[in-house]
Amino acid sequence: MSEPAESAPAAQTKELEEFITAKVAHYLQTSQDAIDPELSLTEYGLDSLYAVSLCGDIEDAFHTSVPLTLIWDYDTVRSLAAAVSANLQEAAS
Amino acid sequence: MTVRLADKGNFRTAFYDSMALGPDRPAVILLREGGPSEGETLTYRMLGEEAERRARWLRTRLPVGSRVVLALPTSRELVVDFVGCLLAGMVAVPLPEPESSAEAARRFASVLRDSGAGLVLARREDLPGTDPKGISGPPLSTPAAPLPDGDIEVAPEDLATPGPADPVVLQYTSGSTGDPKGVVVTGGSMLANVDAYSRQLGLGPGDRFGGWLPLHHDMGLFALLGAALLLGGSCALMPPTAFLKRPAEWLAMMDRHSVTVTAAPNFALDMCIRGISEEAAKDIDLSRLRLLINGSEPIHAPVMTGFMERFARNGFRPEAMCPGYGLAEVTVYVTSSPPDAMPRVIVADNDGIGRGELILADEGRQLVSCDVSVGLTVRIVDPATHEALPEDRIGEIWLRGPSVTAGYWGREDVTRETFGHTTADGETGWLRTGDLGALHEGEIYVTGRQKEVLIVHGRNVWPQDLEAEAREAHDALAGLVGAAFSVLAPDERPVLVHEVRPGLDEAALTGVVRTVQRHISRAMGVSLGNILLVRRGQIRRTTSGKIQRGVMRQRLLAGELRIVHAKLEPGVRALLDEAARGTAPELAGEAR
Repeated sequence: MSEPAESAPAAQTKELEEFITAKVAHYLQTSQDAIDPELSLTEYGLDSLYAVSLCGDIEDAFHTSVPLTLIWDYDTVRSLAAAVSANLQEAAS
Repeated sequence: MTVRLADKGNFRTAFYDSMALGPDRPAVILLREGGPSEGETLTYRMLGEEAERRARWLRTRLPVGSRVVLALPTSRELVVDFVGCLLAGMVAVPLPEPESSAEAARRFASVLRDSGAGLVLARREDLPGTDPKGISGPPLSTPAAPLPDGDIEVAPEDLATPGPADPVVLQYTSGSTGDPKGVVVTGGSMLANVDAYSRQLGLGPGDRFGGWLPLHHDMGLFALLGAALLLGGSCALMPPTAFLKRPAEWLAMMDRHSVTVTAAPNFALDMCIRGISEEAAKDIDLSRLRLLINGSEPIHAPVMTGFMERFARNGFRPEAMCPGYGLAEVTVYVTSSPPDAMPRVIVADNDGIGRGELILADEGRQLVSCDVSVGLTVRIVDPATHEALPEDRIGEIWLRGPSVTAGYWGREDVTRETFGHTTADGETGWLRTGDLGALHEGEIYVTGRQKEVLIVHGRNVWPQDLEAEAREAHDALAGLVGAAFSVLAPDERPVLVHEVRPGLDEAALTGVVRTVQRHISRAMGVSLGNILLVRRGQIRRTTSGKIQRGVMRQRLLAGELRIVHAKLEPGVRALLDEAARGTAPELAGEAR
């Protein structure tokens, strides 16, 4: 039982990463390949307004609440995906 | 014959005339993020009763004319408190909640001092408990002071309403945090402005205003809520973050509540185009929307037409797009195109604009007409000689008329710099807007800005605030000087050129830029995509130490800066590359 329980969060984090990458690429009007998950979203020039929209997108797709402060504290695709995933795990447990 | 709004003398008279049209008609509908789509309706009777209680409550605490800071989110309490202030003869000072950002907290503290506020109405959780930045003095009401039950004894003479010359609102959008300037809106200027706005656009009691603009923004306060209450219409308001998170909710709310008049800056239209999926928009009907006032930041013609085309399938009529021009110094509204005609766009030659002439061309910059002002007299004036310029010449926009406010609160010196100017031919009483534009076939085309303020998402951002935040962000900039300004690439983009301490390698410089960007994004909500680091001594200043931001913009675009490290957005990089090849089009702001 323990194996799927461990890989589920990892799969969800990956799904979140892909979702966030697609949204960021859309807002920046660039391709998904151009998004490095380790780089800060501000550095990509992602407007703070679109960062707010990104919160809304994640909320709608993953049925969770994403406070604005989360994007400030975790401002790369990877860290944000991990943070949202951790919130989802916590809510599920 | 009905009395014209401008002649009603004060808010109280106009408000009760609106109520007399039907006390049980809706006055305000408030929507919460994630709340029910029908929202919470306040009828004129409910709003009047609650606001009168608030007015009496205020009058037991403060003398008439006291400044009352309203630092509340878009909510029933904010609307009641605002109306209560006006009914009590207090001066409302709307501000963002201090906890919304570091900049908001600093601005809150500086406005408390500048306005000499007698009271703050805010939610307890938004007020920093033990704040060293000087938030003390006026009593902090909490949580937005629950309304007492029953009547409060106040003698009738204590509720005497202010006259047309008395201040009703201070709008603190015109100054930096370090040098706050509160535009004094008087009862007279407010009524005259809403009167002119309603006559120009044919607004009346049948209109439902609505949108997401905050009430600490002049367009939210007067073009939406204020106009609704003064004209006997109604107003549906949603919180700004609800729009930013889900732009489709703005459009859905307008459909749900049959909004006929809305207002939004250019960026919001861009967000709708980029951020609303086909799926999210498919059932939204925008055919009842009579006008969308597109104002409070420079209008980018392709975004405007993009919105018109994209939402035509939702019933949005292209004539409903009304590009407009306004500023807090005239309450809010100067002019906009009418609701029954397509917006007019002309193409002007870039070199001509650079020389101060509007010359129609096949290629160049698209400029949008804001039509002819009904309420204000407009002159285009040479900013150096103060001579009025003829048609098709670009100069500073000067305005005169009853919508002009009474200057900046307690600041005679700065008031004189902006208000009460005389043209070379001896006409007196003009407001200098600091904006540049031309008249073409009698209609106003705004081309740029002479004042140094940057406009980011419809919000005024002062360069000195950006420069100060940058210095605070990283030691490598501490004690050095920077210059913030904007360039057109092709829409307005903020740029910071800042001196940096020597001895840092490329990796360290990249880190400096990253830290500054993050800090400014968090503190001010501004994404600063263009940062250029230069050596000490490169930032030009006057002999008195004033930073020459216009000169720095020119030097950057002329390729005259020795740049140590640069982080640029693609559009700005292309602009600088073009400039380096000597084909630079005309620049934003053109400080001359």
